[in-house]
Amino acid sequence: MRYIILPRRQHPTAMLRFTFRFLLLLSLPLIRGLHYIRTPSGLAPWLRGVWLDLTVILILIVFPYIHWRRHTYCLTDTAFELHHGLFLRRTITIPRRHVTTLTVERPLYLRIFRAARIIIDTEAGDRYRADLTLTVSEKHAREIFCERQHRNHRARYHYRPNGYRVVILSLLVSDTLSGIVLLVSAFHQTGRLLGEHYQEQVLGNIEAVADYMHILPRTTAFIALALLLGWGVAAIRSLLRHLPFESTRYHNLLSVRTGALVRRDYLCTVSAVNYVDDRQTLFCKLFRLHIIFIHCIGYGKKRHSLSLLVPASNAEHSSQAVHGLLPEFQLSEATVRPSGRSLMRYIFIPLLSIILLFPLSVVCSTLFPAWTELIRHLTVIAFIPCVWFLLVRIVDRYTAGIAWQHGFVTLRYSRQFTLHTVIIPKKKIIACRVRQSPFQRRKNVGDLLIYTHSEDTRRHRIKNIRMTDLQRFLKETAN
Amino acid sequence: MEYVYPDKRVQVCWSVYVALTSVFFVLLSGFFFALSSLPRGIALAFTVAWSAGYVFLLTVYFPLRRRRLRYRIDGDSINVISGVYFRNSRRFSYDAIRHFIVFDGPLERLFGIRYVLLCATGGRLILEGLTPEQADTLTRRVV
Repeated sequence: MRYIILPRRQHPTAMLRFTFRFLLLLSLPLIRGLHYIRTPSGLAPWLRGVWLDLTVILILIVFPYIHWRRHTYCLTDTAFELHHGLFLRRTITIPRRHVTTLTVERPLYLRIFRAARIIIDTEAGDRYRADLTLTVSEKHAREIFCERQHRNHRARYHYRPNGYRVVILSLLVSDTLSGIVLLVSAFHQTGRLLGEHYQEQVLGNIEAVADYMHILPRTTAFIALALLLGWGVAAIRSLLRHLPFESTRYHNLLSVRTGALVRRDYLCTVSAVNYVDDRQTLFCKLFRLHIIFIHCIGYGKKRHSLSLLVPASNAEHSSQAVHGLLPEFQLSEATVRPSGRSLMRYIFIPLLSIILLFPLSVVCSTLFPAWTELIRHLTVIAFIPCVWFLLVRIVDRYTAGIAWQHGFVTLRYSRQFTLHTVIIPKKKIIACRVRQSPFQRRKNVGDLLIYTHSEDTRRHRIKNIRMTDLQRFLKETAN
Repeated sequence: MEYVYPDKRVQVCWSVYVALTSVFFVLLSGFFFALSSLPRGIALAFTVAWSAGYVFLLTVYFPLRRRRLRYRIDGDSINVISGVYFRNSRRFSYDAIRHFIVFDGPLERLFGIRYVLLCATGGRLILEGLTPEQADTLTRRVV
């Protein structure tokens, strides 16, 4: 074993991260202070017990310091190692050949201290947490990053899309619900700081804007405005996360650089890319836009981040970029398609939801007559996604299919409101499953479910394929 | 290769750690006995119940668990047989192991034993009571 980086400690800012686990202790002086502040003669007893507050502060300083002193990491020619713990001593070893993604993250608060975070992930471990996270100086982070990158010689292909493509992407993939949650919490927090008067003023302004939308009833306009604001906030957040965006292909690595406020550099091992996913919403389909994602464990793992390869672009541009960045992944035209009379299987659920929506609305209005107007508005709002879902399923019926060629399987299917075209290397398929309902058995068709490598369960489902085609697919891909 | 049994002292470690947790129940029992509103019979029943649980763990469960636990480290895989009530036989190939954690507490350091947690695609496996040499041999093979 040869050391490439000798055992060394993390950056002192790592102590901040270690402090978080003791933060609950701060509640002790807080509760004590709140208790004595209410009594007029509270100062003397509070001073008598001040040793407790000092002990807590001492713990908050000493324990993270000891924790930091006991944390050392090193890099050998074969593995990353982290030694830590005072009583329970642990050594985490990650063989370098098993690293799927190495990320260097530079949040603003770490950049002030010239520090960065190194995140290492493998195919094993927690779905939501990285296998190894280190806070190191920027110099050391660069050293680790470049060491891995240089092993891969020169850049083969460099891709830097125009900013407007990322803007379109942010508008198309922004998570409205999380935007609303963020907006509400921000509104609540600023309200606490600036007072109730401020909250009332903002709400009044929103109501005034809602009143301008004469075409819609007031409640509907208010809900629509909230959705619009949430969507806007989520889009801005997504934009800050992904702009500027650039990716480079090295020998067996894919490097992705993204983010303005929090800069992130990802190094994905190409052999660890489980699949390439071309996602299209109905809007994308209409404007012939494609957004390409990859599934490589560790890339886009953090909440609200995307595992993006090519932002919104036309078919020619995106296929050119994919060909340059991941030439191994070959897209094939579907050779097997859903059987002729499959439309009902595709549209059954959205159609049922549309049919049931109005009787359900009537029942709810009868049960809660005071809320009739609100229920009516919510029904109208719920009708839009139902119709949208129906349209997606109709498009899916005529575009879905399977193809297999040169060790790659191409699947076209829809999940929720998105149409997917997925290219999976055969070796990344861990299981294939054929599922038949009693109705499907009668028609001799079935659903194909393909499970791919992942830390959680990742499955791709194509509906209503003829059994003869499925058997041929299973037989040929098994070889 | 032959199956290897964990070091006998691993049972002492388990027992000591479990005995440490009993402090909580001792305090809880003391609290129940001190409560005047609670009938003494309930406090006594609670104390007898947890004491019986601990006696069962220390005299029956842990000896059986240690006796049934064994490993076989082959050229391409690790086999583990374990379980007191249900017998489990697990096999992990080295190819599937992505990273591992070697850890020991103060007692383990005193007895010279280690634990190895193997993280593989699709699951985890913990090997208890390995000697430092066994742990090193295993981890070197994985790396």
